[in-house]
Amino acid sequence: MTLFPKHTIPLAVSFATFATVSAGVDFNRDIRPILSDKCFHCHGQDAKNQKSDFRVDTREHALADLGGYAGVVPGNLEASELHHRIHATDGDRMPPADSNRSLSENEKALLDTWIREGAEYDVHWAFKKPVRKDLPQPPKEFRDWVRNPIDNIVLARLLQEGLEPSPEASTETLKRRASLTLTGTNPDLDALDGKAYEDAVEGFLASMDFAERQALRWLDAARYADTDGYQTDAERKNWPWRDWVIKAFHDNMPFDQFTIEQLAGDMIPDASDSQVLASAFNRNHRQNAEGGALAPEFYVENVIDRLETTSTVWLGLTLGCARCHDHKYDPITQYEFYQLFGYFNNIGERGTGKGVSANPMMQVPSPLVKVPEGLATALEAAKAAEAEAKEGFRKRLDQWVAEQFADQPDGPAQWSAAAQGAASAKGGQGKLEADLEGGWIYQGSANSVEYELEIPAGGQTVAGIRLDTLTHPDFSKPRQLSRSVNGNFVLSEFEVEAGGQTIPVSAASATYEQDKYPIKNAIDGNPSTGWAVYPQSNPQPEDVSATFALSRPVTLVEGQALKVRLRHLSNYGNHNIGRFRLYFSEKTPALDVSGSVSPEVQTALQTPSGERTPAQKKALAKHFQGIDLIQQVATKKREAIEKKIAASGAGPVPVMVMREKSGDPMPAYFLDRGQYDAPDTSKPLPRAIPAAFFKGKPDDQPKDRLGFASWLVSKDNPLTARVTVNRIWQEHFGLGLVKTPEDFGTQGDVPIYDDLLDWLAVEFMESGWDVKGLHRLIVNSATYRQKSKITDTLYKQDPANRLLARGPRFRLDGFVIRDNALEASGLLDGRVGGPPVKPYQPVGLWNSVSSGPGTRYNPGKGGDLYRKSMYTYWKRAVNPPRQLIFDAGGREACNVGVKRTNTPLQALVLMNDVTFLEVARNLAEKVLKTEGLDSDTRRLIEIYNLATATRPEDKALAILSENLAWFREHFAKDTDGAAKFLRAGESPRDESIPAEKLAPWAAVAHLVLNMDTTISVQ
Amino acid sequence: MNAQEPTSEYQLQINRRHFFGRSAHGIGVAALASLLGKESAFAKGKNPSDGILDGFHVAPKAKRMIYLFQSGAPSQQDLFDHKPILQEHFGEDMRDHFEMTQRVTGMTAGQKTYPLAGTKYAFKKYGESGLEISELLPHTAGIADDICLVRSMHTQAINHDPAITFFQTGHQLAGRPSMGAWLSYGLGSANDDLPTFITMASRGTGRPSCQPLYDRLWGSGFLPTQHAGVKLMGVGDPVLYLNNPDGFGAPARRRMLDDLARLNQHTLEEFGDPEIHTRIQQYEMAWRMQSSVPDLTNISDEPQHILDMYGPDVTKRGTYANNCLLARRLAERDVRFIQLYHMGWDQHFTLPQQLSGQCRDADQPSAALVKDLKQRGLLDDTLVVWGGEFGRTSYCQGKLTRDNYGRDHHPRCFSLWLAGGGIRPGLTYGATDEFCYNITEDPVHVHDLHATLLHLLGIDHERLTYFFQGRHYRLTDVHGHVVKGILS
Repeated sequence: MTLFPKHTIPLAVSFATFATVSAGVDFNRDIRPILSDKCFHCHGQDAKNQKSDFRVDTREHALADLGGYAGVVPGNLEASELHHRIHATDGDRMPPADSNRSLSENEKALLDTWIREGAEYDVHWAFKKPVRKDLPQPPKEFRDWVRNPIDNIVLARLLQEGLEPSPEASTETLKRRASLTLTGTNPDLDALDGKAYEDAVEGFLASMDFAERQALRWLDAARYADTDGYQTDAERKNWPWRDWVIKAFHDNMPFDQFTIEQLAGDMIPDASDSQVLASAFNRNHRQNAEGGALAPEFYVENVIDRLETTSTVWLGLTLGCARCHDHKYDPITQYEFYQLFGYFNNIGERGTGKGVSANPMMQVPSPLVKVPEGLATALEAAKAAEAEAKEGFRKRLDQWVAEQFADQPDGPAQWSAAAQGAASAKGGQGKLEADLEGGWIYQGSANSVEYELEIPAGGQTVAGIRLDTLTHPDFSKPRQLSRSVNGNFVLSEFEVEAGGQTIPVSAASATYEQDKYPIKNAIDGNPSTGWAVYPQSNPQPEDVSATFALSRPVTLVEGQALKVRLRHLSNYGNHNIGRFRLYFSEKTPALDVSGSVSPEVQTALQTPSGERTPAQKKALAKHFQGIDLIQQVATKKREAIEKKIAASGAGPVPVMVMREKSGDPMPAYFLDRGQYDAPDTSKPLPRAIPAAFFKGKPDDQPKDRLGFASWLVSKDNPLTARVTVNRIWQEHFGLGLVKTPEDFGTQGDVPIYDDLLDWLAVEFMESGWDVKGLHRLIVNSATYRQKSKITDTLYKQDPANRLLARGPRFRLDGFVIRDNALEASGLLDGRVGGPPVKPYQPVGLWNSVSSGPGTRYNPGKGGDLYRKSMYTYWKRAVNPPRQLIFDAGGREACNVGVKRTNTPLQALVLMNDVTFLEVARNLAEKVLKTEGLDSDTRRLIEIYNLATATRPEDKALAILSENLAWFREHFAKDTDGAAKFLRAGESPRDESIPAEKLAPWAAVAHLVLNMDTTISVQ
Repeated sequence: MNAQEPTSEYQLQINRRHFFGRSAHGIGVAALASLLGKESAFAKGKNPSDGILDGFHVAPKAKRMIYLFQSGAPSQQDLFDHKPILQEHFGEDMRDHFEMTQRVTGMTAGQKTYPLAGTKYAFKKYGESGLEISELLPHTAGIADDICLVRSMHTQAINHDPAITFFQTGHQLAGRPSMGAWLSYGLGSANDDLPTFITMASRGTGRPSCQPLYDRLWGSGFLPTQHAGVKLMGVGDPVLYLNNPDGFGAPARRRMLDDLARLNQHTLEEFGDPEIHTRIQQYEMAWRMQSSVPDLTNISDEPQHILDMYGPDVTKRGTYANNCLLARRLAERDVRFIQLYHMGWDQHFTLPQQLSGQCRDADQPSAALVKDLKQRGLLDDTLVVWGGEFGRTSYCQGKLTRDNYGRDHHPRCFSLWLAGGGIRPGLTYGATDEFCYNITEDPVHVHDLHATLLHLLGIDHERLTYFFQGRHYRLTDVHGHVVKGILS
């Protein structure tokens, strides 16, 4: 084998000399990648879907007798058909021309050597349990260089490659490097002055910035977003989960616990709210609420999203490939895919609908946002007052009941049914008729109709009138009180007349009043208002009564009739009372808040207290609850405070969580070609982990999601620790030890440092999954502490720094670039957690994602404009443009990789985004106002320090001085331009500094913000 | 060249370019020459190492593509595919004529009847080719002999989001690169001053409240981000963050960039990281864009007779007409892939009212674009595509009258037209049954369309791949056949 690993070869031409093959091929490193990529597609394990019977995925298959010959005969090239076919130039050539695959000469030579050496197979490296090998001991002259076991392994390899480690970078450089890769922020170099590097690292690890940074990376993996991601892209409120993640990292929650709570927190016995909240991890999938979307289709998509995300994040496996057929490369069958499906499909979800109501849900506050001081105590007090009010309820109820009689020595009003007199209806197409069971019924349709009743009441005294509206089966559901679309009505006016004189109605009450349609509207003399009876939730058919008190009792003479008019004048069709009866009372009914009551309550009131049935007592209590002012005031007060708390971000919000369904589990079926509508329902599949990965007895397969999560972090699983360690390594070096963090399968990258990866994986598990410990180990290593200078030799031999003969150097992401700028200028609002915020964004970006032309992006106010970028509202349809341009993932699906491009659009952001212009101005003001900065040079150094956490070299300083001089002259000639240039952003400008003096400093600060150094880890 | 660098492909490309720059005398000369020669057919100003392909797989017929995407799904029964039987049996239940076997959306699944809705618009044959289209498209009728109408398109998605995503990325779910991103990745840029892939969106006046569009439709998916489409905005800066701040004119910017380059050059000397070199170049590209984009969007140099061709909206920024004119200007500047979206084609209700507005927006500018390209000789190597994400039902959604009806989503057949580079003009391809329920001749799946478009641009759709998550992904997934019948 060559000394140089082929994976780092950037150009075939430049390293063609490495194509010779020496003895000692390693199956996993050299052979499997070739077989997997070039052969397995047609000669692999997906036997059902391939033309050839020949398989090369196992030794047994490769050596199988094919009828007098074999594909591979160990040690015998001439007898091996494979050898002949890969070298063939005619139609027999493998891979065939139309496969779009071909073998390089180097690959053919490797395969030949492998056959010659016996064609040994081995289990794919990542599917074997990681073990810690003995550490190579450094030669004497390097003994001082080695700081921890990472260095033992790296050093040995470097020396073997003929390289030496780069010198250690300066302490200041290292502090900045570690601060950036651990916390995503620049360090305060002055505060760390004189502190040892290791101590600085401890400070970083303990900081909230560390927790936020790690959480941000996790959000990408967890496809966390603030919207649903389909069509109109509605808002959801899963951000308390985001805060849960921050807290977990801050508390250094062991990664195994972190795993179990997020994947199955809801199933932990006696799960706490926090554990259920954690399970929102697997509800961060997109959610389709498009009109007409089919629930069974998106139920399947949601479950598969969960399965794919989980497998990518913990296993580094591309399970999704097995959705439609057996995996072409890794040992996962399509059948096994749907067995895994069963762990994730049992939460009783619907599949479609908006995220804010996509059951299962929980109402939960952020674990990080504290209730603002004052409000917390106010809430306590309000709650206590409410409890006290509740306590006094019984007493007040008894008093009220007694008063009903006390007020009216003869007891409450006695109602007698009004006679059916002449009835007429004006305005509608129908007729008002006498109802056979008493009262009246309206037959036909009407848009605006007035009923007039002439009720013979000679000799009677009338002081109160009760109107009972009645349901009828012919009327429209759900309310069934009229022929309108929903059975509701609007009574605009209720009027009474006797002897040609209007009798004013002085008070009214009703057993039900619709919001904004109270009964008093029916007696206010204003025909454009009215009384209606449609409840906001759960409308049911129900009789509803209204009671009216006349301003004075009217005694009618013999033969006289009382005229009652019911006027329905609303704009709604058929909203006239369908069927009703009237009752008269000689006594004025008591109609204050304790007003008129339903017949049921009335009967109860009339029953002597000792004889009331439990139902009657209940009815009285229920009625009084509705009119008990003391309690209502207390409740309203508590609600008002809760509203304020909600506005502060500390209140509970609806979060999508997992909640395992009780009862029979939802069956999981084999889906033909992965189609949701092609399940094989003849056979529900037992839940199981694919056989190639599960080492226990079949009977011991995890029974449910909790068991599955526990298996993921058990020592039996070879992948989780490796995959996690690799992702963390990637954070610090810009590239993982396995450069395909999403794929540890046979098609994934074969690591150069498999020994280092395994050592770290074992260490990670044995440390009790100590996340901070792992970070500490990495950043304290001598390997991490090297200078990041790229020499010509290093570049030619190892352009991507996979051998680690130098320190990391890579561009920061868009989050860090903005956050550092804000911090440098003092604008950063460091609040942790809470609802997402909307910083500046170019106009018009949301125009084409809204279903209506009017939707606008409304930027936040005050501190919300300057929060850390991880709190920026993440709309899936239109990602925050700054992040998108700097390669952030879109959060539509799980993303564990890191993209890093270098484009003109990035230059434009730094050149013209208002964020950086506003920062530049604030930075300029800051250095002009800081005492002790008494020279241009000192101020320039300070700007440079603040923006880069690095001291400028003389050359850079000279350029900045020249730049300052140029802009001084420029803005002196253009004071108008200077004032305009300083106008960027919402923060107020310090007017005490003249524009032409401030602007040149802002220009220099802006230049510094654009420097490669400013936006790079180095 | 292999494509096995999922995370750092671009980085290595850039590095390699820099590598060439630094040591061309050592390794690069022969290789460089061969790379330069690889696109001799279209060698004009092309950066040889920009695209991933070594050369074209097939002789390209088009150098660039303009895709006029009509978002929401235009009704084929009212525009392109005349079905007199729907008028003859107007109002009768579709199920009285045949068994409805296809799935329907939740919007009409509960309908008691599926009354046949004949179009209220007259159809006529136009041009020498006798292309039959609706009176709603008089200007398109005028280019009847230039376009190829495909009546046998079909797709598998039935809701907008998955269907549009499918059309743009070859997959219903989010995460794959868009067609333009694939082209950028494969072919690279043919222009030094503008992005390779540019998109524009306009809102329809027929249905202003309509289906939204999302970043992913022109996104780069798992490809490196620089392959994503750059959106030309209808308001604000034409390209995000393009304009210098007030009070900071070109001389100030130039000085800033010069000093920045000096500072970055020092950093390059200190660290030797080729990325720094690239960054210096990208700032220069940004500077060039600051003049090339306004030069593009400023249409004051267009003569009146050209503006008249595109219709009255052409001078209004953000309209479809304005975007069509910009598309021509982009084509002239050799931008590889120009994607327009016109929204509002989702006519569930009050179709006649909405559709006439949509057609007023889109008919004249679309036809003008084809004519304008043609008169400049650009149509020969520019591919133009016009169409939506699925079709509409022959039955009425909601209440049916002669003058008012609506149509639900119908993925199993719909129409789309193409013109220009390599397309057979004046052809009507494929056919549907008399009820426009199924395809009867020459079905063209979305994957087939993609394969064909790539083919015309010189790419074998099976060979433009990207290695990600253990697979060699491609635009057409594992499907797609070039539709030979529509090629010239």
